[in-house]
Amino acid sequence: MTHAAIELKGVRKTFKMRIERQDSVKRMLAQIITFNYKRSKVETREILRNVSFRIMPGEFVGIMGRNGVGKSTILKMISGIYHPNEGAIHVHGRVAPLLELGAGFNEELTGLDNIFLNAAILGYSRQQTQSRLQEVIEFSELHDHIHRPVKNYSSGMLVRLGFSIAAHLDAPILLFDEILAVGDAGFQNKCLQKIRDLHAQGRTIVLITHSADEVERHCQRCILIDNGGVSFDGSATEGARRYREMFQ
Amino acid sequence: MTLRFRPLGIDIFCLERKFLAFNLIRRNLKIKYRHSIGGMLWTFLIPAASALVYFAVFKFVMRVQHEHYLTLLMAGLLPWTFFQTSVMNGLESIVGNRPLINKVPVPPQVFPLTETVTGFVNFALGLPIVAILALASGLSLSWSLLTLIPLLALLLIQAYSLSLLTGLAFVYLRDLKHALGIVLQTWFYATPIIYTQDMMPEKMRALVAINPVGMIFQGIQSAWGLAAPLTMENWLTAVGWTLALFGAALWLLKTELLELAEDL
Repeated sequence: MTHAAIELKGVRKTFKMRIERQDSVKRMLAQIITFNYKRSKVETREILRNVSFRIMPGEFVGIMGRNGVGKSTILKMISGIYHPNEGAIHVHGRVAPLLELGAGFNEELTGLDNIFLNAAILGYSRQQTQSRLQEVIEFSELHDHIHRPVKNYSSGMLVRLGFSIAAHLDAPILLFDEILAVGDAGFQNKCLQKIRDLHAQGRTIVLITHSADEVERHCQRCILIDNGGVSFDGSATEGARRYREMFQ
Repeated sequence: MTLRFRPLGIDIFCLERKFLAFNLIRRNLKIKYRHSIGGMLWTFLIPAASALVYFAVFKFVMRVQHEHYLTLLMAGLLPWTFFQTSVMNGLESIVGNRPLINKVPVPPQVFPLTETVTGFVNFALGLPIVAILALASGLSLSWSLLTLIPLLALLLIQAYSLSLLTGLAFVYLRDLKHALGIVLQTWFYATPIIYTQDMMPEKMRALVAINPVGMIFQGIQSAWGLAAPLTMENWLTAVGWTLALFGAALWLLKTELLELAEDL
């Protein structure tokens, strides 16, 4: 009996909007002294009402939906950055959340230092990073530039480095949040090919994208998020078709 | 053998993310010391300059009587500067790393921890200079210097706890920086740094015990042979305050942890 890699059951997520924020020490003290203390008024906005789906190990799933519908929020909950208000999330296996390439990159440090920093931020140990170091440097095609401070890199170089680090980490579950929208066509192709290779190795891949083409071409399954829940969960082709229809 | 310490279920010292903490600390130190001599010197020059000003004013204008006044000042100003910068930097460290906390699951306490440890490394590098100053002015050093080890350990925990407390509070109270600046200014004068406890009038000496770092700084003065040794009661006060601040920080983190990323 194989465990699902990722499972969401009845997940509900709300965010608090604080109106009349209590955000000042001075005001707080003044109010307390004059017996006039007002707590922040809080308005709760429900982003996701009832989200459930199971992703089995080795699947390549595309998640699509309009802007603001909660796709990134779902990914953040899977990674443990946010927590659901109701329902449960089970994750079986290590997750590499790639919501932004080069998270934590510091301009003053060299590319090499940043590889270690970024890997550490993503949860990798020294040994793990050391063992993949050569591959990361080679894939990035940065050669000697790797020893120069990152502030001297072009945006293309930054993206190549960030993606290279992400793509060579050993997590069985990879989450990509629209990160393929950057870089030139050549680089995008290289990335997509790499992601396909990772999938062929048996990793579970979840990709948020606005490109129905990408989903059709690479994913087996597509989940559409709309109105706080899952509006479609099935074949990539059908999902892509419905997504395009949403905008007609 | 991995060390695990999870009071209230929280990895408060980031022992399970050692590589992350180490890299963040290394990043801070590299940036600071990249321009090598310059960076290192500044960390020392600022308290040294303050020491000289206090020395000039308090020794010659206010006529304070103390045999090794300059050494006394340096011995106290260096750790105070560490304490103050840890807390001021820790204050902004969580909010300042918002872009990261929102994108990757990192334990937020790693940021004030980084600031505290970085500050401590800077401070430690200046200690030998105090020793040189002491010896040069004819002060003899004794085994009491060893008490610096537990004293600095307590100070380190207090600095971390306070920087974590202010770092978390800053998420919700955005004018805390200004308020903290004022508090630290006053706090400085309430701590035995520019004076020793026996210079204080009897009735005021209790102030030192009420001050969370009071006994630690008095202990530092006595470690350098510049004040009377701490009593057992003094030590207990210091440990008690350290545990209290640590407990408060731990409790606040536990309360805020789940929703922190959203509240940023």
